[in-house]
Amino acid sequence: MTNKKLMESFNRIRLEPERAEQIWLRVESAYSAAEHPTVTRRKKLLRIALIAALLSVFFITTAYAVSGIMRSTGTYPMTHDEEYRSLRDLPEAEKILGYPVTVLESLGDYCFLRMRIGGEAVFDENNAVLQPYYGLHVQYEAPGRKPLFLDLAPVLELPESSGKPEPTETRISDGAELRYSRDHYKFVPEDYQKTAEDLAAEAAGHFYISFGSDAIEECELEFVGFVLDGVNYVLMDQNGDGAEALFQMAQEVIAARHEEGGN
Amino acid sequence: MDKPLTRSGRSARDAYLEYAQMLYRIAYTYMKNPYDSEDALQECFVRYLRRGGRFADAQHEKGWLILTLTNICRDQLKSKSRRHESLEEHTELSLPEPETDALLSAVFALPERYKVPLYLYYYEGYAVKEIAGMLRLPVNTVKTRLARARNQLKNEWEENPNDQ
Repeated sequence: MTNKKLMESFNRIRLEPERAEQIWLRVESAYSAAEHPTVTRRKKLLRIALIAALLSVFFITTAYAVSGIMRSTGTYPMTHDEEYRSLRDLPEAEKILGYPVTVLESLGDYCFLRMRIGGEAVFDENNAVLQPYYGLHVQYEAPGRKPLFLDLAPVLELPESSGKPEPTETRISDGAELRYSRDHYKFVPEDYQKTAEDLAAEAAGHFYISFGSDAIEECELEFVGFVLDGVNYVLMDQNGDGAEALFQMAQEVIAARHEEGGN
Repeated sequence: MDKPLTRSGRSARDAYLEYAQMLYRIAYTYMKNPYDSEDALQECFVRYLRRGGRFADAQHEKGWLILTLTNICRDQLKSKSRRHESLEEHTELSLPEPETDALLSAVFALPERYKVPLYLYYYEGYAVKEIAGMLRLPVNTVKTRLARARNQLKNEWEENPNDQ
């Protein structure tokens, strides 16, 4: 037996170009057919991811701007992209996240629905990755109301930022600073061009544009952000519940964290 | 936290064009007919698309494709054996099959775990260390499998001198 003979034998097995092209068409067709039923769900997840990216920009204390250089955050492909329907899976989620989290079954009138782990990163102005991390996005539901979101991400070890937007109101609770904001959000497609009104509203503050949605959609969002044991927690409400309701929910999380033995 | 994966700049079709021939040959050594080999290749790239092109580097990508393909082939063989399917069922399409010689028949008869290292080493020209990286195996395991594959092929070769 010679190597040449072995090469000749393997050469007998050949995928002709026209067959290869037909297989590729079948691949595309099979992939599209498999993906189609989940398009709606994926869009919902994308919307959540968009909001999460915004939250990261404005609440992760070191991820906004340094010396006038803008940073951004966004989704980033990493090994894990998991969704859980039960809090019994929280220990497994924590192993992936690499940091401890406190997630409650209920917050105010809302009940836990699901949570998702996904890769995210802070990018510099050239879209180079400064720091990747796993974020946890928890969705709560209440009858007749829009979902409530709790988003968690590690406090990143990046140089101290400047120019971070000021919260509407702050409060201290059990040693944690709670930062409340009520902002107007405009979700737009990737190819959207900002109008003069957009630019004026951005300059006036508490008006943000997020690129990547299918259609233009605007809403008022309320946030409370705080840091617990090196983790950023951000609650986001779309129902206009008001600052007091969000402060109360934040305090429930903080109290539970302290009961679990956190600092 | 796990090591993050780099963003792949190229399209899935580029990867398909680069690896389809290699993967088809590997699939053929398992499935021994063009129909099932094509099916395995198709399923492999459907999974590749679902994964979204997230690989640390080219070697990671290639290794993932080979391991995924061989897993698909094994699953198909198990399923095929349960269904007692035969080639006669593929009556709607006639695909050309390669003319097999004694050596290729001997390759087909090798244990599955020997086939891929043999093909990657002798046909694709990869070094043992590269193959070990792609298949996530210790270098010595790859060396052992190559040696056993060679011995088995040599024995087969000597037993069928008329086919040479």
